[in-house]
Amino acid sequence: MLVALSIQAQKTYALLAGVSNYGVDSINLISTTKDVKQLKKVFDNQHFASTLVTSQYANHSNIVSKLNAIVKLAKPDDRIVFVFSGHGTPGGFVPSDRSFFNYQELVNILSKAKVRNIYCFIDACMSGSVKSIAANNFGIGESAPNICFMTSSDATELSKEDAWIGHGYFTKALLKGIRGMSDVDADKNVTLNELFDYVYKDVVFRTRNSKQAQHPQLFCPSGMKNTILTKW
Amino acid sequence: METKKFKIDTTESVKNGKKLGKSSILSKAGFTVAGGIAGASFAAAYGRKPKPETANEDDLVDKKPETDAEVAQPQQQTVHDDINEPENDMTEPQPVDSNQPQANNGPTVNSDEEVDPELIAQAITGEIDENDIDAEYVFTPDSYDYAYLPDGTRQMVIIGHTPDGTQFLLADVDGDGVYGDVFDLDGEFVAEVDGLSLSDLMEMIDDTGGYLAGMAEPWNDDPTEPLYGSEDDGDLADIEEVDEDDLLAQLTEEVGEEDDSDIDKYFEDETEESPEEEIDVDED
Repeated sequence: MLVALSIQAQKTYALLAGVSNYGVDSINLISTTKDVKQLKKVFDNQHFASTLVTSQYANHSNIVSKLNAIVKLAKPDDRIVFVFSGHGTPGGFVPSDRSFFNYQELVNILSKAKVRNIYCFIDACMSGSVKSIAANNFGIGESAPNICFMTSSDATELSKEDAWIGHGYFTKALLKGIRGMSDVDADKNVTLNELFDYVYKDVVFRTRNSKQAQHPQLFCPSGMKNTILTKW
Repeated sequence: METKKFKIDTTESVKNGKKLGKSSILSKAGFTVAGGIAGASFAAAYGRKPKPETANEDDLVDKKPETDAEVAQPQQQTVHDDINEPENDMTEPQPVDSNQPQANNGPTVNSDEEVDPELIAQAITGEIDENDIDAEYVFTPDSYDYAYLPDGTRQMVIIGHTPDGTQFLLADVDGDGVYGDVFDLDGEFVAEVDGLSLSDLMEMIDDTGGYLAGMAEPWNDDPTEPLYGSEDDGDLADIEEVDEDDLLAQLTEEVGEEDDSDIDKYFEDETEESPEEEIDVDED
């Protein structure tokens, strides 16, 4: 006889937003929605409560709406993950409606969440420019002490995708790393430190012969560096 | 304002001056395939050639959004995500115990306050655009085999196919850990490409999203790039010198309409930073 117990297990809420179809041929991308779809598979394996919005549904207001909903739902023991893959520009990324989603606005929304840790993965040009918005280790006041950003490039670099690898360079490395290839101590736990180390080396190696180098960035409070992102 | 995420410049992809060609290089590093399989030339269909003119990054700076009438209006498709699986505690490894009660992994309703069902629905409902552009892989790996160099060296090759079904082999002739040499199934050299590492291929072959064991990477022996978090990282010193009041002012600044012509403001603080700048790490 089963006794049903009400157990409030820790949850990880993930919002994945990818835009490949901007409605303009010259700026459409080829793998950004594949990026988030494949990441969602990984998150589903990890039993994250993951939500995927792509192209026309990854517009500014819908992203804000879902983030706000997740922020309200998440409890103190929970975690939040946000992923974006698409166009980027200094200071923010570009949703499908070709608006400007300022990283400051993103931090403002996420900092309202009373959760343990928030992880943001941004695969977009100049995504490292988030530093100018949410720098100083997010330790300013109490607004955002628990948010980290892992970005595909620094503040001035483009972020590339490629039909051969089928993903953005950053997301490809992220996929491999988060699935265990970054687990250097083989304990089947992928920490933020391990993941970034792997992602950084993989992307830098891939662009080693390119005229346009790409250097992923990590901005996070020191206390989050050894947090476990995925367990296998 | 640059909004383009990337531009694949085919000229960058040409390594060491090698060009696309159909001539066999069996005399240099050709292959005798262990298993005989026929195939067609890859170069004509997928070898490197000049890409059609597309908008470059400079053009995009001046691009203006199309009107709504010019934007395609695809049919709406909504996907609901079911959340039924229990989630493990991520802080510590949890032993698998089939007798443990299954926790509800759906949105939790706090008994002390009502949660708007619409809020829950909003948070968990995914929406996938059927007009997403998900390009097929140029090369889809199917299996591996072994081939022999003229000197008798046995080497693993990856057998795969292009979107049109044409089969070819991918090999790592120079031993740099990147499978970037394309051969047809008769062992004839076809083209050199950017290539794929073994870990790339593994991730493609197993697309379930499950666990992948670590493996040797082509960059394992490359110490040229500094590890992040180095104490010598000049960027850390820069961060510590930043005036907190200035940063506070930045954060509280009202989010306004992005001014395309004022792009320089985003680079004001970048001039003295090292190109290798990476991490903002709190050194406590």
